Amino acid sequence: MKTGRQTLLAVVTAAVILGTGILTLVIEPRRQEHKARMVQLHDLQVKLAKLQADLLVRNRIDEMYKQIEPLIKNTGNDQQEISAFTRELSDLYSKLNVKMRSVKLLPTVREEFYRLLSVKIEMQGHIRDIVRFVLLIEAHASPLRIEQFGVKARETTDEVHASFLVTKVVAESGS
Amino acid sequence: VVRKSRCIRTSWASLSLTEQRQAIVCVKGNGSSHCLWFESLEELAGALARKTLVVRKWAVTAPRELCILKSVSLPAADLDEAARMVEFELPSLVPLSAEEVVYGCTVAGRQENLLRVLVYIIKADALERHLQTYKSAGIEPRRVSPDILAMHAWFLSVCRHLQGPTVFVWAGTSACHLMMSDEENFQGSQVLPLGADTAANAREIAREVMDRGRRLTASVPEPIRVVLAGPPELVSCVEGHLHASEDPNVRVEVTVVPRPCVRLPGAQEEQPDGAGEAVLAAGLLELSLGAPQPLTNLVPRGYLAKEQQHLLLVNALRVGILSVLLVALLWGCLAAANRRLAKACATVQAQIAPIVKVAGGVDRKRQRLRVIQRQLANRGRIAEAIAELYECTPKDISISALDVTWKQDTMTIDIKGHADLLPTAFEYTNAVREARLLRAMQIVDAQQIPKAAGGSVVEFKARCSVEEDASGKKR
Repeated sequence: MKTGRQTLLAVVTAAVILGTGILTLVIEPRRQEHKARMVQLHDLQVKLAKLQADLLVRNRIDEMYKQIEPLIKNTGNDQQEISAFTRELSDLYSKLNVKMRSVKLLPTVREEFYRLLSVKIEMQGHIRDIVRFVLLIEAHASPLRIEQFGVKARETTDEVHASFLVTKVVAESGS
Repeated sequence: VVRKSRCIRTSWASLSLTEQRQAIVCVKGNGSSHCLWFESLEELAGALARKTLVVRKWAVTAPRELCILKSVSLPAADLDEAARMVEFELPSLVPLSAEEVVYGCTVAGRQENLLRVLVYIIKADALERHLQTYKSAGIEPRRVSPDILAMHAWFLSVCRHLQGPTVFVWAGTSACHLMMSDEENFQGSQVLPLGADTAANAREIAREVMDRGRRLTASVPEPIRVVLAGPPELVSCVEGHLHASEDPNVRVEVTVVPRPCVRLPGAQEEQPDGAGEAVLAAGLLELSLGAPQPLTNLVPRGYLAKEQQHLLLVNALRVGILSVLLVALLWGCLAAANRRLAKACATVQAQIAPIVKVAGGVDRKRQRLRVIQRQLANRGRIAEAIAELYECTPKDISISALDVTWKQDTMTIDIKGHADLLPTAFEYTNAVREARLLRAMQIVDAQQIPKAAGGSVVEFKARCSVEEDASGKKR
């Protein structure tokens, strides 16, 4: 025969199971939907605020962008861009009395609206030519940048071994 | 009581049967009791079936012939504690087991730390047979009280705030009921059979009252209050005898109360019979509607168990309905909130759509501008820094390696070099202090290494940085 305590335990257990079941099957999906909609609304509000802010500076951005647009123009896919980039570099160092040791292509970094091409170059030559190469890169019409630059002295006076990490920005194809 | 034309609805009603099986039903409405007279129990059953009388709970009396009345003194603090003790005292009071009897109790008085309790004991099967009469009419009572308690309750309801010893006298047609009360606590009762001679009956009643009064005043030196009710001619005779009595030891104060009137349902004229039963029914209703006195209820356990089960089911149903409502409410609240959010999202999207057409490409352009600005920033700085380093480097120092790296907008130059002496290496930092672009140089490592050809050379590592701000000036 069931005692009062057993009955109470059975009733409490049944109530807990039923309550959990109802919460899981009925309330929880609605709660999840609520949470997702809250996040969606927040994202939309942020986007709206950003767009409204963009609207205010649109003219100024357009003017500035017009100036840099030729620098960042997209000329094709990754291979074509890398080819153009290396050609630009070789045009620069071919004029100098340096000996190329290696040209290594690094993986392209893809951002939402642009790509960052990277090339690592190792060469040796007179310090004067190396510095001239630096000046040529920094004065180049394309958006080139020396991210890293290293020089090691060789046994011969003023002869150095130099390494460069050069990057170039191009527009993302299709955007 | 709710009266709808000829229909009476009430939560509580009490029922008393006359010797001729006529039913007296007492209901309460507008603060006063009304006693209804039915020719028979069958007529009452018909009224119940026709719903001209709708009663949720019935109260009936248990006749005193069924009831064994015992007085016990117990060392209890209150009646509840006394009732628990009575359960163990039952075998000493009646030769029956606790399962065979139904009992209730009331407080009679207190003497120091002892509570004097009157115990009403009825055999369960006898009570069941008695209730069978009502069951046949479809009445299952929720309260059963001894008729003496009901009558006592009626007297208390018509004479409120009684203090001291009181004798209640109900003079009927064939018998007179005397009830002793002290501080509104029932003490005991006596029945006097009455004959046809009113004067003799009145004399006998007055004599018995005075006799009771003498006994009560022996212990309590207060005047005895006597409350009389019954046929007016008999009551006035008794009152006259009581006033005429010349007992110096007993002082009586007589109060006469009108007997309750009984009417046919829906009629105004008074019925001549059933006054005694009306008193019982009215008193029983007072017991039922007054302060809950569960210990005076002699309803068999089975009846209450059924009621408790019903109550449990009703409560479970209420809890279930409330839970469902709560879940539905919660679900509805969330659904409403989701719908409101969906509307808000749609509104924001509608606001975004025209702006995207105009300002959609601004972010793309801004990002490209930023990256181009970064690419073009600090142009020529490496060459300038190297040139300055060349100018600042003392003749005694030779540089063997140079590493230029950018960390955010700060250019860092790591230098590896040689010097003849250790102080010469540290003087290098002083030389750079005057530079325009190079920031304070730090020697991070320096050690003197012996040469194979004799002597030694100092090998050092140094670090300096060139930080550019927006205007391109050295910080």
